[in-house]
Formats: sequence, structure tokens, C-alpha cells
Amino acid sequence: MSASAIIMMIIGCGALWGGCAAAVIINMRHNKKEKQQ
Amino acid sequence: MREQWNSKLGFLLAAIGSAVGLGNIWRFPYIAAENGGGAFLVPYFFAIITAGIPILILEYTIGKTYRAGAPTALARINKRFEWLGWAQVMVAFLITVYYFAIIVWVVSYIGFSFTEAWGKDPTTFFISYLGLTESGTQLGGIQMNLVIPFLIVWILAAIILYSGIKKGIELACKICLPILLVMVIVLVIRGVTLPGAADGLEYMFKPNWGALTDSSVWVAAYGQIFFSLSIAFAIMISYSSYLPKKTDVVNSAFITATANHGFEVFAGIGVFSIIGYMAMQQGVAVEEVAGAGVGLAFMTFPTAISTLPALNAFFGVCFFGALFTAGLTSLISIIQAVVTGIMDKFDLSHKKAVTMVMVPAFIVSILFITGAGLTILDIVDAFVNNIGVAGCGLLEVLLIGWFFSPEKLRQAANEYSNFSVGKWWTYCLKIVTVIVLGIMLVLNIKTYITEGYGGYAQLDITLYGWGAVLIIVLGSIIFTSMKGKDGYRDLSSIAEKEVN
Repeated sequence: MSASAIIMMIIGCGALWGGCAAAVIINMRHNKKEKQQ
Repeated sequence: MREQWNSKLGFLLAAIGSAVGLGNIWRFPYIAAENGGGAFLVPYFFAIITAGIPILILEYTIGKTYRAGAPTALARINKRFEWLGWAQVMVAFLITVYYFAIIVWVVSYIGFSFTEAWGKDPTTFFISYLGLTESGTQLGGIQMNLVIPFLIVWILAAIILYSGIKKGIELACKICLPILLVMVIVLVIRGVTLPGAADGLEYMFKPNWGALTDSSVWVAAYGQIFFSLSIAFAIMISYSSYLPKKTDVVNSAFITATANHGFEVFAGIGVFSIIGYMAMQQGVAVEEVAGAGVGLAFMTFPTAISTLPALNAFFGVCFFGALFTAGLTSLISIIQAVVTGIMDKFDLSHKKAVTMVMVPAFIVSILFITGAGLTILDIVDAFVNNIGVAGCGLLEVLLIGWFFSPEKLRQAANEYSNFSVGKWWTYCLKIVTVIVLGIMLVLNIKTYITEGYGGYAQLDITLYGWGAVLIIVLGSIIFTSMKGKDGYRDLSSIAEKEVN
């Protein structure tokens, strides 16, 4: 398997799941702040 | 009082469950491979940011703010927009009736996996299992071997929908999604550890940068994003209408979109690594065996499962089980979109609305378990998606973007959001999505008029393809002209108060 294919596979999965994780973390922090208030 | 989701997590799982459907598993990998491989990710990401997420935010905001299914919600924005809501509901109804058939086949194939009943020639087996006739007009009678799985799927869907939003849809998605994820993880782990997997992944991910200059690749990327997210056919408006008022919609749209697309890239790794293994076993190139849709699931993949070195039945159940769970959560969301539309306009109880939708849907879906089922399904699916959904999407962004104030909706979206969405959102809706969807729709209509579809007879295309488009138009006109329950026509003023 070529390096460029491996890189694109990692980018594809990493960017999307990373984006999802970031959005979930933001949501959790927001909920925590709301509860504290 | 309107029922609500038990929690935001419940809503998110239902929305992701709706978006993650059969197309994520059997359509995306092939579309990516055929349109530049790894380079396809560039227009794909661009389309997620400029169309997928903006339209999701739009639909979540409409549903949550106007608290009704698509027809009533759009009528509350402007009375003259109601017909579009009904067109979307009609699209959802048509998708419901043929989506059932696919899940019926999947249920049968879960059973077939235990014995590898498809033998050495899965294509012939599939055609004979469906009792496939030569044309869409030769129905060939109801295929009795499909009746029991057909009833099982209907009963299951009815139980979920009659149980309501919290105890039905939310619970079903909380059960199905983890199962789906586990099954796909199992397939990916098995797939990437097989010899030949690298060839399959190379085929899917090797970037062909030259493809980026081809406009059809960009249209394919927007098409994939658009059809994958369950947008423009009333589902997301319906689901978000059950959200509490103080729910964040912007971040919810980001979570739904990234989880949905992350899932399809991940599932693609599993599918194409197994296809790569199969190609190696048969001594052929991956592109010779790669495919999409019904062909991939019921003809190519059974062959791949049979060539696996061990635990064939287990991996067969994992693959068809993943299709089943992904399909079921999408199916209930599509039916619920129709149910919410009818319930809100005619002020019916949820259970009554479910009956009003499921009885006619049951009767019409019998057509898809006849010998002509696959032919009719293929034609209706192409026309409903490529003209119905694309047309409804274009009209939605046109009406909201140019004949209503998207700024009002942006403010409503930002009111309770974890982070605010900027003016880029308005420009994406008003300009980018209008242009891309417009091009997509014109190209699709032109192709169907000049070339027909799939080599089918003109009579079949006219009857089922253009007939489906006509049903959407007529259904929209008829339902819009029907008078709703008391007070329905006066609700636009209430809606204005909610937005401002």
C-alpha cells in the first residue's frame, strides 16, 4: 500500500473522528458550565 | 403536550442513526474510489463544511424553533411554503415503501449467512431468491419466501413507532447504534488483517489529484454528503421538533455530520479490505470486483464472505447485521418524518398518525416483494433521490435563503449554541448549496430524459420513475389544499414570536 494512500486514509478517519471528538468535548464542557451555574 | 427526547444524547443517537444508513456502508467506498480515491476527500470535506453542516443546522433550527414536522414548520415560516414540506413528506413516504424491501432482503441474508445458502454463485442465487422478472410491468406475484421477513420487519418497525419518541425511537437507536459500531469494528479488524487488504485500501484511498479538476467529482462529493445526511426529506426537521427549546443545534449538527461521515470512511476500510482479499483469492484486479449498492451487498459480498479463511457465518452475520441495524434506524426516522407531518397538520395523536402512515405504506410496499420488486426499487430509488430529494433540497435553500430571512434563523440557531455560527453559514446556504444543487438537479433531469436510466425499458422508467415524481407533486398539492385542525392557519404569527 502506497504512503499517499495510507496518509489519505489517516486524514480521512482522523479529521472526521477528531472533529467529532472535539465537538463532543465542547458540548460536555458547555454542559458542565451550565450545571455549575 | 408535545413529546420530547429524553436527553440530548438520545436525540443525537437518533439523528446519527438516521444519517448512518445503507449508503454509508455500500455507497461511499465505491463513490470515493471511482472519483479520485484519496483525492476525493478534498471535495468531500469541502462539501461537508459548505453544504452538509449548514443544511443540517438549518433543518435543526427550523424543527426546534417551529416545533412541528416539515409541512407545518415551513407553513409557520410562511404559509406559502407548506407545499414544500408536503413534497418532502411524500419523498419520505416513497423511500419508506422501498426501504422496507431492502431490509427484508438483509434479514433473509442474515439467515443465509449461517449456511452460506448463496453457494458458489451468489448472483444467480439472489436473482432466483427474488424471483426476478424481466421488466417492472411483469410483477410475477408475491414471492412467498419474502413474506415472513417482510412481516418481521413491519412488526418490528410498528412496535418501535407505536412506542413513541422516547420509548420507541430513542431506545431503539440506543440499542442499535452500539451494536452497529461493534459489528463494523469486527469487520474492519478482520478486513485489515487479511492478505490482499492493502490492495483494496490502495484502490479506495490512492489519491488521483488530477480528478480534482473534473467537475463531476465535485458534484459526486456534494451528492454523497447530501444523500448521506438524511437532509431535505423532512427527517431532521421532524426529529428536531421534539427537542427542548434550550438545546444547542449548531454543535449537534457538527456532531451528527462528523460522526456520520467518520463512520462511512471507517466502514469503507472494512468493506474494501475484504473486497481486496476476495480479489486476491480470485486472482483479479480490485476494480473488477468492486461495486456499490445492491450488487455489492447481495452479490459481491456473499462471495467475499465465502472466501474468508474461517468463521464465515460469523462475519456474514456481522456484515448483514450491520446493514440491518443501520437500515432499521434510518427506516424508522423516515417513517417518523411522515408521521410527524400528518400528526401536526391534522392534530392527531402519535399512535393514530402512525396507523395512518403505516397502513398505506404496508399495502404499497407489497409491490416490492413481487418478482418485479428489484426493478421497481432501482428505478424509484434513482428518481426519488436524484430528482425528488435534490429538488426538495434546492427548493428548501432557495425559499429560506432568498424568500425568508436566514439571518433570523441564524440568530435562533446561535441563541442556545455552544458556539456561534457566523455569516458564512448564510452565504453557504444562499449561494454555494443553491449552485451545486441546481447543477446536480439539472444534470440528473437531463440524463434521465436523454438517456433513460439503467438500461430499463422506457415504459418502466415512465411508470415508476416519472410516476414517482408525479406522486410527489400531486401529494404535495393535495395535502397542502386540505384544511388542518382548528387554529392551524393562524400559527404563523406565533412562529414569528418564537423567532424574534
